[in-house]
Amino acid sequence: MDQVIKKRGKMRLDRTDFLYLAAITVIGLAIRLILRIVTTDDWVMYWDPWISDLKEMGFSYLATDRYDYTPTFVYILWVISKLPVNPMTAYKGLHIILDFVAAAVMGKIAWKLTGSKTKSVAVYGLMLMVPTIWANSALWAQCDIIFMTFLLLCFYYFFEDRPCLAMFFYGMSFVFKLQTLFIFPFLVILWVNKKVQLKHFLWIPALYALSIIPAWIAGRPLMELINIYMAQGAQDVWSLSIKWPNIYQIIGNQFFLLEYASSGTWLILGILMILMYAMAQKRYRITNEFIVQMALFFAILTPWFLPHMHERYGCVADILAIIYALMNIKKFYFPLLHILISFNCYMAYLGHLGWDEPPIYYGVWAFAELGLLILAGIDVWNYMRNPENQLPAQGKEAA
Amino acid sequence: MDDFLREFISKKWKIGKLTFTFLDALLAVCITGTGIFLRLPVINYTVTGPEKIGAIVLEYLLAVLCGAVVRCCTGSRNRAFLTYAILVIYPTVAANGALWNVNAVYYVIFFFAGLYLYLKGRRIPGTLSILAGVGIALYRMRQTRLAMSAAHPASLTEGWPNFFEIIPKDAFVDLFDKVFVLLLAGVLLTMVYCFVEKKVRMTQELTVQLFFFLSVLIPYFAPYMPAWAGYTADIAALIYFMQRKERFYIPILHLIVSYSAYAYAINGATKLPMVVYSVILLGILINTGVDIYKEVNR
Repeated sequence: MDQVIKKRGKMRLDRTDFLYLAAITVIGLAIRLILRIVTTDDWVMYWDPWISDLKEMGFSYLATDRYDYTPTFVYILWVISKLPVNPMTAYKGLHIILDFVAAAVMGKIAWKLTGSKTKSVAVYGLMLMVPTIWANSALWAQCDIIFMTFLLLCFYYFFEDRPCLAMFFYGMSFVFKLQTLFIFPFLVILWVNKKVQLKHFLWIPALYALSIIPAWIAGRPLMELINIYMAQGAQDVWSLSIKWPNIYQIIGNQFFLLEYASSGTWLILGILMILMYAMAQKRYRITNEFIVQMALFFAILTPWFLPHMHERYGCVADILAIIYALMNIKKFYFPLLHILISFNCYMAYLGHLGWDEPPIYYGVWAFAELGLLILAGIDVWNYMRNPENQLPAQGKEAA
Repeated sequence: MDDFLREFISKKWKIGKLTFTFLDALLAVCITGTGIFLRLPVINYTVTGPEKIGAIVLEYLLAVLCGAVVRCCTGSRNRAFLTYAILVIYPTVAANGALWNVNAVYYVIFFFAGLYLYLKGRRIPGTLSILAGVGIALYRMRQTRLAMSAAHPASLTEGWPNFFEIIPKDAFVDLFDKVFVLLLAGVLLTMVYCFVEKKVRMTQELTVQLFFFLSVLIPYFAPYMPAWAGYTADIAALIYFMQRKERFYIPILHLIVSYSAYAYAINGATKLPMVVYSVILLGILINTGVDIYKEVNR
């Protein structure tokens, strides 16, 4: 299981690889081109009016409080508003391009982890086929692929043993989406185990601060920009779970709305504190597999307890599950089941189910998600319990 | 007298190259007759014409052919004979022709003829036979779809409990019908790529496994699959079981799914929601996929 970090040479592709890559790229593109025409509620209610306002007001739009996403995302919309093409085509086009970039990064990760050319090339292709990837960008007009691409780069550089660059990309990911924080505890464990230094964490506030400066110059109050994620969290509070199969889909997501929203947040904070405390008691060998195990565990755990989780909030776990299965083929069921759960939630929204339950109830999916959480937890636990993976504590080392 | 009879039923007879016992002959005659009597009570449910009669004859031929396939890949005469016997009274096969007059056997027989030829090392005729089957199947399914689309609202599945039973089957119908064909093409292409890159040797066992896997996979993600889309997989599951006894549950489960789809299409209702069958099929797909992975990496 020891994942010694190796520097791998360049991948040499032959004619079969190029043929496959060309064909799968065409198929991936064709899927997205078919779906690009769909106009979703998110487009009609948010991105389209925002782009229209940006066209009208120019950069001064950034001074207003009409947007509740981070300014970095609005800068992209500002660029789109300047382009002489249909805004939805430009918007979806950008995210579709990022789908391919993310697939390429995933291929590089596979090469890094396995050294298998076949796996690397095939993973590129499979990544393009993953329903939650094409549905997010080409169908839904969502923007999660931006932060996911940065997150993939973050993991790639962790595997390369370049923590500073990895944390830079984590910071880049954070300036686009708060969901990046789902896996934050694993970074703390990496810090405890000397894989990351405290100064590397500075990328997160530094990049965020840099990202809000243009909007601040445009005129939006600094405090509003700093608190933009807090404001985001205060919206969509009409249900404890917004179609994500978590604990609230089991206990009931329409009761004690305000009370559980607050208590649930404290509950997950408490759980994370206990876990971080327990995991920081000993020092471990930090292998690539352990990095992915931990990140996957937290990516499933946090949205399972956090209230107001949306349909798309499994996307981090989706891609981590793919990496996990790449490292350990016996864990193939993680991506299979997690992507199925995620896509089911996507379709519950996109299929306009409203308050209706999907064919398989959210509660059933929530138990399936809990099953994956437990299995990921057991994997982490087994890794930590294995004496081969434990290092002497600092105090003992000094003695 | 008792001993005489005991010896008589197990005594081996030889006609040309064929060796058989009285019991074999008895079962062959009885099961062939049972197959006919099984079909007779339901035959009047739909119009009986030359097409249906021809289909029933072909169903028997298909059973013989599948027996030959099993003989070819296992070398066991008993298993081959059992395959024939089981297929003659296989509920979905019998119901498809005699009861429902769908007569899918007209194209399904090409798939199994292709498999047989492939196993015999005649790969080009085998592939051509399968392609001919696919061509006829697509033509028949298109005809059925045109007939059904007038009566039913748009849905991604026409009765087969596949992936679209899990996601809402009536969302983005006119887009997902193309998207999922492309997705399927992508998955199949990736499989072919991996097989080529790994230089996988196609053994007889692997050929049967792959045949079964594809017969489940394709209708699972292809749009507009009718209720009898599991016909090929039903039979392939039986052959798979004859090859791997420990997979006895696969033909049982697949048959239950398949017949439930028939029941839903004919009666308009089943005791369990169709989505349950979709999950069962997914389980079968994963189980077989793992088997293939292990076989390839053995």
